[in-house]
Amino acid sequence: MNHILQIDWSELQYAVDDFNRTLYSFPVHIRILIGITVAFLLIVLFLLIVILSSRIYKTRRSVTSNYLRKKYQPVFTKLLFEDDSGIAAGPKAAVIDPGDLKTKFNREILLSEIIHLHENFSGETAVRLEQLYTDHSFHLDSLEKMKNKRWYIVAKGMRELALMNVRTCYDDLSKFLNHKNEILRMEARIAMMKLSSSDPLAFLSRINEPLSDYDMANIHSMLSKMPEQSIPDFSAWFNSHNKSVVLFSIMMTGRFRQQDSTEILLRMLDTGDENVKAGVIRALKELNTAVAEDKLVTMYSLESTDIQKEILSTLEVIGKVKTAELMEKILKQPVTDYALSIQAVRTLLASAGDAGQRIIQLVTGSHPELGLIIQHAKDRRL
Amino acid sequence: MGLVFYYFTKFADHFILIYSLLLFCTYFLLSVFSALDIINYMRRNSFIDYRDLLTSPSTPDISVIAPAYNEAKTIVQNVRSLLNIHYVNFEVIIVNDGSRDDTLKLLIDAYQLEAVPFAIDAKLPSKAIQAIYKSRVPSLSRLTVVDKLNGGKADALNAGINISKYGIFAAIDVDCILEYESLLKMVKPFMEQAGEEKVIAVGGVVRIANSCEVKDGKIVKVNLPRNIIPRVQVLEYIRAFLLGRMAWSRLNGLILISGAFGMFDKKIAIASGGYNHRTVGEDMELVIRMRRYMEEKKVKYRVVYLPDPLCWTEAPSTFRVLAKQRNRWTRGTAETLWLHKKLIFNPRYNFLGMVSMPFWFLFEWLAPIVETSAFLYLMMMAFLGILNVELFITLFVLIYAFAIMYSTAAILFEELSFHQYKKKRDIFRLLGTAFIEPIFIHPITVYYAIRGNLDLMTGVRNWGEMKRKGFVSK
Amino acid sequence: MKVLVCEDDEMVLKMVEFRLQKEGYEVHLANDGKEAIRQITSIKPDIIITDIMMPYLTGLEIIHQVRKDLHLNVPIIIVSSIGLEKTVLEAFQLGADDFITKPFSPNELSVRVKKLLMKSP
Repeated sequence: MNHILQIDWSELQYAVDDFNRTLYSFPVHIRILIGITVAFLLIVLFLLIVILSSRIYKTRRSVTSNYLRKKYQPVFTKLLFEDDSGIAAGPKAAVIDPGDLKTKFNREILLSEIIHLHENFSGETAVRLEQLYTDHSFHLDSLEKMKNKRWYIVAKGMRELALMNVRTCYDDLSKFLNHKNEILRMEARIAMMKLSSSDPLAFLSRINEPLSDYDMANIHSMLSKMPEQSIPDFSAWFNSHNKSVVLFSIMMTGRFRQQDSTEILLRMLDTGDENVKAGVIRALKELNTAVAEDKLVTMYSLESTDIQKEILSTLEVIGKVKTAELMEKILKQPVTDYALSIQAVRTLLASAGDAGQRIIQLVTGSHPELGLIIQHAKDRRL
Repeated sequence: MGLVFYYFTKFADHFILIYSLLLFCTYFLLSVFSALDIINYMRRNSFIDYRDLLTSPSTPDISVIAPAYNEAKTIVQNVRSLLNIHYVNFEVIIVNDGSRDDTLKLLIDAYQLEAVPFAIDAKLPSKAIQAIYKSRVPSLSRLTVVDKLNGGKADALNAGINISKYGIFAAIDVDCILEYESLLKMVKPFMEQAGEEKVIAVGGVVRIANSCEVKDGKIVKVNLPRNIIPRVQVLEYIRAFLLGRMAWSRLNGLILISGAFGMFDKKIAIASGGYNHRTVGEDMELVIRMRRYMEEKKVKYRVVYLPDPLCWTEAPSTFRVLAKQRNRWTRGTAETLWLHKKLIFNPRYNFLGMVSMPFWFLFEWLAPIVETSAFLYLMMMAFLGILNVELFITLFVLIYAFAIMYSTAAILFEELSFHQYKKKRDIFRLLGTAFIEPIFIHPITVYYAIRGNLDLMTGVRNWGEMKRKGFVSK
Repeated sequence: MKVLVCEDDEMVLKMVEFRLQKEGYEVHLANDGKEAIRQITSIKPDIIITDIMMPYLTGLEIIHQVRKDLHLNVPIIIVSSIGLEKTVLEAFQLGADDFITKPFSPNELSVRVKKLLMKSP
């Protein structure tokens, strides 16, 4: 019986030799090709193993996170909305099972759940969530993350600390304001805004990197969630050395209706920078600055088409008599840009009312395209 | 004579060998760049809250332009779901490209449309526009329907650009299913440009919707197609998008944004001449022309690609339709390369001229031709009884192993990044498909590509006829 | 009193449900726009709380359908992360009664619900 299981070494040796002989009987380039093929197949095997293990890991992860979510959802609900939830008194650790907090993986899931809720709720509910966060020392995890070498972990730490109102990290944040990674810059800015309600935009004077439109959208979205008294006077940054900061402040002046800045804005219309000029004109529209009419009407003819469009659109809101005169002049000239002419008709109708209607009737015939342009302009859906 | 033949066979053997090795290296490098870019994108994306874009005054307005040709069956539902996309300020322009069915009438009835006076600023050439419609219902103010004479997809898109209001336009296929966040995600690269580099176009990944559960025009559950033809295409798409175009995006050398879903800077698209209606590859042609324009103007620019599955489309599920599609793709690529042949290996066009265009020429357009010629050559050698059997077999096995490796890598990327195929069975079937594809479907698609090239060469005279048919409808 | 809450975030939905149940309301939930309309026609809620960005039908379209197609006067509160002036105006023009931006205070929501219910007959 035994001899069946016994390996015949000489036989195997023979087989290997045989294989080698066959392999070496091939010319060298064929052998190289065979080598590459074997390498490819090994890589395929390796990739297959990675795919499968990733599958297994992902499944386990989602099972655990579902379990934890199911388990703690009623607990959180109760804690957040119970009148006498014992949040001030009583043993705090009782809220989350210490057993569920042992592994880093579980902590991350619970933390993300708390963060998610905090993103949706404000008021007392949010305060309770913050307390839950510190009670279970999640803030220590987050502080640890900020020291990590990988940027995306640092960013995550910053975000958590800021959301949960951990003010002690404020000074460390400013280090990242001019970091070369734009996500870190963004998170640092947002975190600083969240943590300092008295001077949320202090960072604006300290940044050297240009703000992209997305960055601006991001800061604006933060600002619009803040109480009105914490919105600063944006004219403070009109002279910033960072041009994107200037553009942003001008835009925000309009957005937050800071009427006190209209004087400065009017003076800024003389700038040679097209972007700044366009921004100022748009802000004047939002501020509804009637006194800007004279200036805009006088400067109109010397500007580029893009700026002219901005001027017309602002005049539609603030314009009166002088605007109507300018529009009449524009419409009598040959049509060069349809969008401009359409806007001119709209501005005329807005600034002169019935008189505008009469002027339009007068100019309709002056150019063949104008009839259609006027009809187009009158249909506000277009 | 014998000597000539000897050198010919020597040359052919070496050419096949070197070409394959070059191809392996290129694709290997591409997948490395792709991996880097996807990892980076995923990490960055986890910090982005797209809701910020919904509230901001600096989020740009977008014109969504969708040409429609004989789409009566689905048009009403498709428009409905387009209008439902999550975005603040956008307009949806449906361009009815002279449909012969009642596409237009259905739209008019469903959305209470009425013809409006419209001063069209025809910056790009297009066939005559017959009427422009808006809805009487205020909540449908975003919708505009253009009715024009048939002129093909490129022509319809140009007409759409002419009447669009906003500075960024998205060109889409009307029968695509877009994710709610698709516009938000696609517009973000435009908003991120700070400094000199201008983003001129953004492309999105296209995924295959066959066998997926669709409810009210949205994908609710992703399934792997049951039919083998679309299933192979799932693999092809993952490979092309996740392994190919992401790499090109990182290298800033991307020259193809799929016509199913792309976003463009309108000013630059118009300045470079808009869509070219003389080619069926208008999507690729536009990107190359826009890039060319920027290169010639010497302005720094970027074409970005996003790996998120934002756009889902129905892939051909019969060989007949697949043949048509591949034939058209091949013709599109060949025509576009021909139109811009001046760029290939031209150092004046930097990366575009030295890398992107040559790659497209050598490995996209030429690959099926080399494959077929190599096959015919080997057949001939076998017929003459002088086939180098060892070389033939090892090379064949090597190429097969490479194909499987490349597909497996693509599946891995998909698994680690977007993980769309949640069922365990699906991932196994996809892996199985990777093993079958090189021998079963691939030769057929190569054949279609060859047919496309032949049609292009012989069909010059009936080209006009083809054009008038407009784009292929499903 | 029947309250219908439409929101696509499960966790938030459950929290709001709990908070409102505490006030003694009968709370119904909907995960998407279509489901919301179905519930509105079947259970006839006394007040509707809805998010804007939801699958299938946006909150704004829900208001439009409730007012124009179903001709109902039921009070509607919008709870949304979009705080744009334009969106707020659009919501009120379409017939919303109140607008709360996210992040929101559940306590405040409950007070607003109570107030609207007292006003409506």
